[in-house]
Amino acid sequence: MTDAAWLPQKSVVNYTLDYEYTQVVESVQNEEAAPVPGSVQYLNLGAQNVWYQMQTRPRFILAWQALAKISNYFYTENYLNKFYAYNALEYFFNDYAAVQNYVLRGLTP
Amino acid sequence: MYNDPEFGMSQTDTLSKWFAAQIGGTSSDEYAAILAYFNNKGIDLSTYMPNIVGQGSMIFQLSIVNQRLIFTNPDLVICRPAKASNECVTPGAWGSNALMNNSYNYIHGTPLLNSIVDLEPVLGYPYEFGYFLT
Repeated sequence: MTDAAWLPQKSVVNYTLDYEYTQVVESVQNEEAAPVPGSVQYLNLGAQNVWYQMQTRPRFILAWQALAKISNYFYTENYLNKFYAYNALEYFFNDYAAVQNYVLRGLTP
Repeated sequence: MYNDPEFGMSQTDTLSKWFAAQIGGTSSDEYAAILAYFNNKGIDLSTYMPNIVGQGSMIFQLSIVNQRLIFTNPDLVICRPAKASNECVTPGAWGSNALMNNSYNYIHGTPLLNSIVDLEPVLGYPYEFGYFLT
């Protein structure tokens, strides 16, 4: 994504206007200037917002990707088991003789 | 068995698989993987597994103690009911580094770690946002 470029064809989007101005009296609604339902072209403000941030905030996309990677790690990996194992290793399991006596009793080393 | 490269008890990575089997229980994939692995080496652990990871075993006791430390830590677990699960721990662990950098979670005498990267060097850098806060 380091060579990303703005696509002009994405600068404008179409959407359908079907909002009814229910609080406006009928005579005003019928005036020529009043909005009517139909297709309207509009500047793609959402995309421009993202593009602006990509251009003005250094490494924006990299930061986004890193956050996605980190989120995935924390929610899918069994890091708590590793934390328990670390504690257990420091507390007890670093003593080979104790492990043989109290955990692997009866098994040939 | 103590120094086995896959399921030994002398390294954090491999010892964590025994904790996974203890927490997962006898019907878990982790439990079955240990049995299958050692069975393939000619060691039948089926009668020994209850002593190693069953109730009253050393792994069981340390697991319960450690889980309790975590889900009773108000700085870490914010969900109710509190559980020592990824869903409950991740916001505090990531946001304020309240898992690794918090002596409350450690069994007495265990040296504190700075980041999850200390347990998972393959990550390459601290994953916790809280690690970078003062």
